[in-house]
Amino acid sequence: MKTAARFFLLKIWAAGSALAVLSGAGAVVGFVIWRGAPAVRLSLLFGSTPPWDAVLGRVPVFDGLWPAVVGTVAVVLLAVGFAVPMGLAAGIYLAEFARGRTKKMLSVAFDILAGIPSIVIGLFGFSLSLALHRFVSVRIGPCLVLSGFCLGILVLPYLIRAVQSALEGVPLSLRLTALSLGAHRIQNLWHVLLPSSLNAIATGVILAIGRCAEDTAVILLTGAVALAGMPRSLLENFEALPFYIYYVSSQYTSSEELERGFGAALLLLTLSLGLYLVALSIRRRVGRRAFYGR
Amino acid sequence: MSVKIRLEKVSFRYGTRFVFQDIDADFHDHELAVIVGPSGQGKSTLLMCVNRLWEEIPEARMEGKVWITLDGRLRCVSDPSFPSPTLRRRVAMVFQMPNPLPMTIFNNVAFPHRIMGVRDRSTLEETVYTALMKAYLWDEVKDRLYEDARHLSGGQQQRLCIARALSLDPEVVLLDEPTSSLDEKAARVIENLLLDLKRQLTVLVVSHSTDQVRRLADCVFRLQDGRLFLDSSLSDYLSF
Amino acid sequence: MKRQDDGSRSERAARMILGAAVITAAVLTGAIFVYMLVLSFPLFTHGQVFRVLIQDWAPLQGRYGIRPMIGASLALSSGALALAIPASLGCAAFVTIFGRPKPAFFVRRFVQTMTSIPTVVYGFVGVFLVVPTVRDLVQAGSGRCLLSALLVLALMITPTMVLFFIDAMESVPKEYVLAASALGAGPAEKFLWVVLPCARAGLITGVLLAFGRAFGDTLISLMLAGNAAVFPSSLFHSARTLTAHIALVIAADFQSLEFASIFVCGVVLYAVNAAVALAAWSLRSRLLENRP
Repeated sequence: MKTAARFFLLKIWAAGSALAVLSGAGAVVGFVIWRGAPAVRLSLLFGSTPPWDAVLGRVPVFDGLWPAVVGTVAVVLLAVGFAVPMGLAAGIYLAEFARGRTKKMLSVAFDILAGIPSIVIGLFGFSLSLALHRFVSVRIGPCLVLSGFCLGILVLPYLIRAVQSALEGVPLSLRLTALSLGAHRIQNLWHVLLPSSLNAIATGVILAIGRCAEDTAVILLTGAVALAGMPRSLLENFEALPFYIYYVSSQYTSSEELERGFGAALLLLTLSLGLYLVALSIRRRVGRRAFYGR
Repeated sequence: MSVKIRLEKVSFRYGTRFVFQDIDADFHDHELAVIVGPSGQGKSTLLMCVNRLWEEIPEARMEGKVWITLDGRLRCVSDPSFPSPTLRRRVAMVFQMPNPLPMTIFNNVAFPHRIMGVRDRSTLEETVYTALMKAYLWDEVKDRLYEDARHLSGGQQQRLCIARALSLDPEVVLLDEPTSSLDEKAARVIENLLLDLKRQLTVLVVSHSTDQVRRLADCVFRLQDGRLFLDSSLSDYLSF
Repeated sequence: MKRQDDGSRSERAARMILGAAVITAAVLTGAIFVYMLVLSFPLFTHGQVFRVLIQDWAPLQGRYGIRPMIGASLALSSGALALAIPASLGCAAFVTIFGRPKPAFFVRRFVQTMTSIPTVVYGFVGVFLVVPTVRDLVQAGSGRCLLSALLVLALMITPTMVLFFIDAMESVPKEYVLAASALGAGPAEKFLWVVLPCARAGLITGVLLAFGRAFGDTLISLMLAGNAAVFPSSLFHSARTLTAHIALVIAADFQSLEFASIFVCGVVLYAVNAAVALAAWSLRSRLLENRP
């Protein structure tokens, strides 16, 4: 009898927790859709500017999200352009060349890097720009390329780990095949190991893109502003979707601006979920390691 | 008969766990030697000592020397200065589970030649044809050379792997229980192939099946408790 | 013969290039910390650095203490954990043991997908859904207080924790569970006496990493906690975390003590999160050693 009661209570607790988590997240998503959906129309992006003129950059957009979308894409491209080659190289080194103590020390270092809060990385970038401003050129300040670099640092450890575990996941028999046929290690890496772990690596890259696109704390300190227009140069301020959402939440002045904020939130949410689903479809099981920390 | 492979005080360990110690053995030209013994005692590891594939396994350590007669001269191939890719081309290996690379049948056989820099299409075609003929596979696959190799049956896959190994014109072939994952009929085909092979080169086979040993072996080694010795109890059956 | 030389030469070259990348990445980890330390240096020379940790924030009186922010960060992250741990544990138990296969699978997929909800979206919804609710509940203030931030933060760290918990529970050897069944244990007993104790190390790892995330999160506390730089004395008071304090930085003068104190915040955040990462790492490596 006691056993049955205990089982019943535990079951209630488990189901209740699951329900609570589901409804919490459901409320967040539902609220964003409910308030954001009415804003979804072409003018959300382009405001009163004719779309083609806005896309081609002929006419500036003042009352739409287009500059923020372009800014986000630009900063993500910069970040990924820096972090992917670096992460690929470091991940390959860890999986294929590092052994013993070196490997252990490096893994610890990247675990720590993965744990650094993004605001600290933002602060690092901010003070770096101040130092460069003072000692190198007065033209340098918080800017697009700095944000890209710092976002790159943010996702670097995830990429390294994604590449490393992808390579280490190649079964030993496949790993030895080309070597037993006289391939040297670089050929094995290039012709066998990398192609067969490409899916897992691509998953990691897509998740890293999502992470770059949604992070706010880093760009908050390294160059994102509310009204910069289209990004014109690497050394200038820029607009970005997550920053715009944060900005609206604290300083919206009109109901149109608020509605645009909800539209931006819905857009960013869709983008993040979309990237996640793409990653999921590339690799049915996204490993636990991909979710490690934030 | 001249010595083809000589093991001299070969010891092996994974980390701190010794697999075998101070093994001495000679294998001769045009001989099919079978290595038997309880599982988990390092028979596959012993094969990997000959082509130095153990170097790719973390924590593995080999001591001692391995000599192989190449170009009429006994050479110490276990020395790091002897390039392992060269060694592995002349000492081919076939694994327990068929391990075609994830590519077409043609490309599987052409792969080791491509990475050596062979680009000429007709040369590659010639190589693939010869190798598949040697492995009794040509007739079965000549119409599907560009299909994924993983679509072949188990026995065909294993013969493809043998063809791939033979395509490099090796002087020694190491086979690690090559028929254990196959049915009786497919196994027989491969056994006949091996008997054919030993006329041209030296063959080392790890086997678990007494019947197979009886059918194939010129001499039988037993690896047990970290030692390797000639097994006369099985040699009694042998025909030489 | 020549090609093999090419092989070892190309391996050496690759080793060097890849090694350079790995060293750069590792140095970056240390460089960020050193940089924070160096920039908080003005406080060292004024002999203030330890006072900074225990003083209040009153820049007009020349006191740049970050005690209120440390308090707020600790209160917020431990509060969020207190809320999220039981829910995450229950959710993980539902997925692995108590739920029927289909709902369990759905919850697992749902939680995995949750990890991709942007933090700033959590914050945004918090501002327009949670803050008004809390304001009505308390009937005072703006509603931007510890409680609002805590509720949203708990939701934000839940999916990571659930996934770690599921992982830990699923890696409990099946034989143990079977042995318990053979002794007549029901699902409740198996969960309480076999799964939970065996998964302990993995569960602790999940909690540690969730704490690191909560402690290091910026946007939710910045948007919801109200940002008053006073030591929090109640859940309904406005508070400013270390992360929000950095985000609100206005000074930009390397010599000023105000600016330096911000880097002390950075050092504290870095140190706490590095300690968390190290603890999680050592737990995990001990776990791997114990597995056959």
